[in-house]
Amino acid sequence: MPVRRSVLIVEDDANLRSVLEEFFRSRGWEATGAADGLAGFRAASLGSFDLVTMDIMMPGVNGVESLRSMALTGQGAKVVVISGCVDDQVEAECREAGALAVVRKPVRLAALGELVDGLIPPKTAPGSP
Amino acid sequence: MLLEPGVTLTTDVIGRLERAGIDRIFRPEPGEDTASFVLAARNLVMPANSLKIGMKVDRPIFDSAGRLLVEAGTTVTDRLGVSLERRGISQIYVRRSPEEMRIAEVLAFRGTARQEQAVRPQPFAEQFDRARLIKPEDCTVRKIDELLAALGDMSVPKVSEPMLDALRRANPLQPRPQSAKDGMLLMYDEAVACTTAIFKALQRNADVQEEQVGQMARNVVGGLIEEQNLLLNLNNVPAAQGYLPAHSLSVAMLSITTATARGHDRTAVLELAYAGYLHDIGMLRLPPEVLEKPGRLDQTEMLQVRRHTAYSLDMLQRLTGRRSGIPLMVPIVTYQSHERENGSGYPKGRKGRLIHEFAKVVGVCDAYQAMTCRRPWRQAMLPYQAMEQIVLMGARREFDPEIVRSMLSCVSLFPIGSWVEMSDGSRARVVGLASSNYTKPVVSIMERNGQRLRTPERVNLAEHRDVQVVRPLPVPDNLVSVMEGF
Repeated sequence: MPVRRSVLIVEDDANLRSVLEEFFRSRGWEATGAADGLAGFRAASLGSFDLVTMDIMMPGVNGVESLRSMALTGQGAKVVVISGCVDDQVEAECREAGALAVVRKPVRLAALGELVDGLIPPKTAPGSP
Repeated sequence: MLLEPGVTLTTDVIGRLERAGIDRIFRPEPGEDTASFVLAARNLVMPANSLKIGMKVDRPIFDSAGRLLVEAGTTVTDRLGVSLERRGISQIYVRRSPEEMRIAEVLAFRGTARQEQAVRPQPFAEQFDRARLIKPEDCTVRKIDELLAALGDMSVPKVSEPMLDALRRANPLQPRPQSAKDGMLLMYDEAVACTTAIFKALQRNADVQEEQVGQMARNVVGGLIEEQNLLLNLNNVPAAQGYLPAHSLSVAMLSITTATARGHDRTAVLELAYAGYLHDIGMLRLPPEVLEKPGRLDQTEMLQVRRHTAYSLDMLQRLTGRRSGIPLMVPIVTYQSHERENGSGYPKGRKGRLIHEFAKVVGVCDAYQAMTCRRPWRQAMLPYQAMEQIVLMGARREFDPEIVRSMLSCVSLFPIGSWVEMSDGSRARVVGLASSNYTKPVVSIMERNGQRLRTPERVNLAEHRDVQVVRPLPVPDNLVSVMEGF
């Protein structure tokens, strides 16, 4: 019985957030959503996630600040940035704050699936083949 | 019963009583049982035959079991006497007025047996670096500006043995002995009392012996060496008298812990204790109507507040002593601790590389500590909420993120001593940190299914992923001592 991978989706666009949540769930992930950078940081601090997907342009605490907060507190989740407006400087800031990849919107789900499977391969329970 | 036998009357216990509106407490004689003590404390004991027919009773009268015999305002009749005699009542209890109660002043309790067993931390014996002293009369804005300009590198050199090597490092998974907790509380109580006296003298413009401040710094560093987590937990002791003395001590305690985590040496940490302790003394010179104003400050008042860094330097000149000076770190930190990484601070609006490393440390610790205290213009934040703000300010580069990281590495995101609700519904207290994930500290489970546990259970959340913190909680009302759970 495979152990489920967990993802935190930080995205202020409610439609895209629910599309991403559904997408991850359909691939066997446990998915949690957060509507802005602060909610994302809080959810990440309280929970334990294998992966965080992070939008950048969000009201209040933006994606870079949220990622930096997670990095400051020593959280171990892998991070993929999903954003519509990432220039070189923002991309550099994201990578400095721990992002492993930057995916530009509109999101191609098949490519995203391959990317995250590469970052976090499906888990197997201890003892299973 | 307010206090169990053996409880040490420390600042936090007294503060809790005072906040509950209790200004007097009553203590039985050794060997006296509680029920008869309470009865006798509340009532005058009189023979039943002292009630004379026709007498008007102005206070209620009870029997030995506390049952009401005669209401206030009743006139004694023959029938009452007969009734008492028939019921075999020979003694009656007349409710005392508050002035007649057996009174024991709170402070008369200091010096119980528990205190004698307390193990106080030894004061730190290190000396200041003689090459890094400044004469108090040289603590002027002009001189400090010149010194800062000449410094160039604002980081603190690491020269002698790191303070980290001197720490005892108690295992956070093991409970701390009561004697150590009591010792830390006594050290803290004395420190608060001494700080209050020093600050009052500075406020009166009186001279203060520099050695007194040095001794305080040594006591606090001694506490860090023995019991880092207990020292950090002292920041949760509610201030019983005045904001600034307890706040300044907390800032000193948090600052030296943070600097120690950054690998600084023994001398530098001692100098920082001194500096953190005095960093805001200029506030003593601001008028109370500005300091205690419940609303937003207007522009003139804001300017007045911003001038306090210069006042602090002025007040450092009141330090006198045998030595040839005070650590140079003290005026530098005092002058720069309100500067911010992005240039948004005061008095000069200097940016990161022009701010002294220890001024940044004190700046972060001061901001955190201030947020956790109630002020006339706002409620206190829970420690977690304050730490979250500090992390966000680090992410926004208002604070140097490396300093914020160092502070988190000692205190954790759910700061040591704070209360949290766990995913299984239990209530716990954060007591330490045993991993580099600052969101997963060590907790003591204090309450499960609404029942207080006799022996708190320690859980390292970094290793037990099946249980997590769900939300921060305020300090419970029924806390007996600030050291519970440690």
